[in-house]
Amino acid sequence: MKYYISFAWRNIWRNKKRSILATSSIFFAVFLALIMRSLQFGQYDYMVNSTVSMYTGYLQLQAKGFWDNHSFDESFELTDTLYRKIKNHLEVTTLNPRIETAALISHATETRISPVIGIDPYSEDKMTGLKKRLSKGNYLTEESKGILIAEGLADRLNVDVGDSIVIFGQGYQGVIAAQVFQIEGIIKYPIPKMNNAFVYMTIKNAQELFNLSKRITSIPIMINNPSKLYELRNELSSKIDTNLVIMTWEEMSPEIVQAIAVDNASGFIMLLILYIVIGFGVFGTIVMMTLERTREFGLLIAFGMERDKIYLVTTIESIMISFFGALLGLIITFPILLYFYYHPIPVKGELADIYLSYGMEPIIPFSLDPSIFISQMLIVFIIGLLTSIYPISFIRKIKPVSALQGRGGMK
Amino acid sequence: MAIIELKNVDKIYNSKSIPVQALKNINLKINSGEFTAIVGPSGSGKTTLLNILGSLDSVTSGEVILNNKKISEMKENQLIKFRLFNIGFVFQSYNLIPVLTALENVEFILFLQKINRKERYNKALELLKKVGLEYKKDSKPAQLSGGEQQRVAVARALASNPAFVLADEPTANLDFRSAENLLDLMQNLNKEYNTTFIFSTHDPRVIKRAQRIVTLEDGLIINDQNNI
Amino acid sequence: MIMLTLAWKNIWRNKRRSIIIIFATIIGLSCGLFSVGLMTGMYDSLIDYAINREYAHIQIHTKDFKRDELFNQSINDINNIIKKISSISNIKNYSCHTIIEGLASSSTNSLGVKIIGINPLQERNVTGISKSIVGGNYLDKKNTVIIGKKLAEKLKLKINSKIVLSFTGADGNIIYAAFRISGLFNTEATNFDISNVFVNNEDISNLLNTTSPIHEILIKINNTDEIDKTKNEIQKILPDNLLVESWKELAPDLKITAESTDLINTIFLGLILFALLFGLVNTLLMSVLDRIKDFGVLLAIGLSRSRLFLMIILESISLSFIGGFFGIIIGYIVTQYFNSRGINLYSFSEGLSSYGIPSVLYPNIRIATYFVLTIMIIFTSIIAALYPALKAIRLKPVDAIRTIA
Repeated sequence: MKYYISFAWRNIWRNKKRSILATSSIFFAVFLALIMRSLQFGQYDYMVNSTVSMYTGYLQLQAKGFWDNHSFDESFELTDTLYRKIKNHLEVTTLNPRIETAALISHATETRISPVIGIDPYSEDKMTGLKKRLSKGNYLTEESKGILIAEGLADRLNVDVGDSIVIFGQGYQGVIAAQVFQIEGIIKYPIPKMNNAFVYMTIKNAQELFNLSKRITSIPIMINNPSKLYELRNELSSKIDTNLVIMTWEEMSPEIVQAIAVDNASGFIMLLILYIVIGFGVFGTIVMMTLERTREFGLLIAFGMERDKIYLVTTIESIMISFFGALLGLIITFPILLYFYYHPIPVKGELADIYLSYGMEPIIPFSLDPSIFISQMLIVFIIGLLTSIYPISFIRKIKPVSALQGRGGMK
Repeated sequence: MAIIELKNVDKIYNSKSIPVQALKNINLKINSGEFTAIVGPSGSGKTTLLNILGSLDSVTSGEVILNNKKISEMKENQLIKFRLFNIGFVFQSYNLIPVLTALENVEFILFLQKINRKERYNKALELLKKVGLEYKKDSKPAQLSGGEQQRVAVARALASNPAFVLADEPTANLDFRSAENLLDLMQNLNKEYNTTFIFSTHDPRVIKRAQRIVTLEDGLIINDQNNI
Repeated sequence: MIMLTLAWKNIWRNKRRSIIIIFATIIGLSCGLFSVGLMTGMYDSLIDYAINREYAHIQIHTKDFKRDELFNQSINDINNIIKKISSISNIKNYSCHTIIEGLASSSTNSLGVKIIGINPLQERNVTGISKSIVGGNYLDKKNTVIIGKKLAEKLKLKINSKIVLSFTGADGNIIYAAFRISGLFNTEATNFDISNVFVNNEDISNLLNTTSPIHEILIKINNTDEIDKTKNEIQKILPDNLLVESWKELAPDLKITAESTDLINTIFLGLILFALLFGLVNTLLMSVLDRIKDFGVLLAIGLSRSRLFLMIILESISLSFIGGFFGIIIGYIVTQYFNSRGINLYSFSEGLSSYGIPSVLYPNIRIATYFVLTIMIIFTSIIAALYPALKAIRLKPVDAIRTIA
């Protein structure tokens, strides 16, 4: 085998310029593909991470039906055993129990509808970084009796820290919930839609207000490795009662899934076309290499080299030409990606504002997901195999007598 | 002992609608150790005959027995193996594999015979010594003169310990001196090691040296004589 | 002309080699054009749908309303303002909206929504809501409402069901009003569908006992190329407390999409051509090396080096021109075919339509793209020929002739 490889290697270098051109075209494709895919995947992970950590979590534990109805009828009790069952899983980083509902918020003559969220101040901050968003006043503690309110909502109600507001809504089992709360802090969200809504209080206060006793509505869950999402969902699902359900962020935010799918598909199509064009170039090189060696193939057959062995050599040649480009691409691109992985490109100008309006830091992150590299190597390997078909079919038809006289591929 | 036996061999090419009879009723027997020239004007069927002797081409009718094997009964892959172990080839030109060095060209045949690395190196080197080119063992064909290339080709042809060596116009592209050298070499090998050589040629220098001369014309053997 | 004929003949000396590169060009360009068409079609329709659904071309609000969205931050002296706007020639249609934040309740559930009071006739000419009705009728009778199909599902309501809308009036009183659902709409954007309900302005007036306040004016214009000019014209004739914005300001992400589509497409085509460049250089280089002897003879009999150089450039141009021509033609035909027929994405991914992506895609290539592409092809072919051509003219006739195989 080693002998055939070194034989193939020398054949490749028989015409240096041509092989370098073919190899560098593959290099170019791999270089481009790696950068593009790394950018895309980095962007996806970043987008998903920003969105899920902002609100839903990667996974969310709820009672069945809560997602559709958002009513307290589908609330459930968070027992210690349930909490521990999930928390003890190695992949789970944060559990963030919540009470989610909507209610009327009034101050003087102004009334607004807003989501009212009962939170555990510690785990909420750990997951969403809520404390960082505090623009005024104090963050909630376990014992707080007051509320946090989003800036835009506060403006509309014309209230400030220290003022009191009335929360008016419907509690568990149809009980009317109404209570006065003092504003302890103002939260500033970069996304206008979020900035105009949201009232936070401790779970304890929310349970009292909405007559929930020990019940909660949902637990967003953060995990270590997003690629194990479904695996983890299934594992956790098997541990919980049948009236509970674990949703993934993909179910909760289908628009992100869709945006990613569309972007991913368009990127894939672009690369496919690029690879087809490059593949043709390599194919041309292989055809040239084959045709000009007609006589030599005849010679080899005359000497007593079996065709299978010649196929082996030409196939190694085809794969080598493609593969060296890929290897070179990998070697040169990887450090670049590695650098940008740790130093994401900052975004400036108008685009930066859009990032901010989605609550994302204006950076362009890169991904080092192994699948990016593996898939490019695989594509290049397939190109190598496809281009190796031509020499095989050519040599199969060769008659040594005519090939020796310089006439190729004749029957 | 006959190592080549052709009985009533006909060869007809069906090129486009007109069939061309390249060989007509050839009967030929060549014994081990002979130094035979096949001569005749171009188009007389020399190359066709050589191709048949090399088992590269099939016959239309008749029987070909090479080294006691009936060629017509062998399949393609058997033929390839047969050639590898029984026949040495020297062609007119473009004879060596351009990416391999002189030594590697000789080794190549031994490699195909699955002989281990050390043995094939030693044997190839020994063969290069026989043709007087061991000092050029690391040269690529492009760095060798035409005569040198042909001598390497002879070394390679001998590498497989063939029953006989076929040489198709071996001196056609060589100058006088190189041609003489090549012929000396082949003649010495023939005398010293009893190597059987069969070559097609219309080069009078070659014909002069042959032990036996088979003359072809229009696909017929018109003369077969010993040249002493 | 002789040079061109010679170049043309030279291309066909090694058919297999030329055909491979021509084929690569055809496939690369036709596929490239088609996917450019897909992108353009997709993003154009994404923008069109968004404009048609909620943004229109231009919107007018009070500056206060933009900030707080309060009930009493409405546009004053609306009739006078409408009259002023109507005087601008590029204005096609307008629609006045009353916008109230409220609660939509069924017997089982209640959700926060934006209640949009419209004049059904005006609205018909400005947004596509009347056309996205998928069940029942557009606002027809008194005290009817149209809501999103998905909102209806959430509230477990059907056509003709009763729905209670509640909101705060000007004086801070909460107003409850029962409406009957006359129809359900379904757009490409789920979020829009679950957060907006449309009622007749007159019904709101009746509930408030006064003419309903107008918070928003949506404007459609004739010539969309002059959108910024028209916007400025409107801003100039309106009082300072009003803010005029085009969809580009209302939806900056769509603006960026619109602006970057063409750029990304051009870059993409550029990359394809760059990929082709390798193959082209390879082909030309081989063809030059094959003909070293010929060139030697040509130079020896007196062909000037500049002529030889030109000949190789012409060969390259002809070679890429054949591929480019057929590539563009095929790309054009395929795109036009799907443009007239539409590509139904529903068959690829069920439910795609519910995420803001139109379910039927109409690929479309701008005329300018063809021009840009043609120029890029010629440019690429010249670049590709440079090295092989230089190689050819550096030959010395004697050496060249001596080279035998």
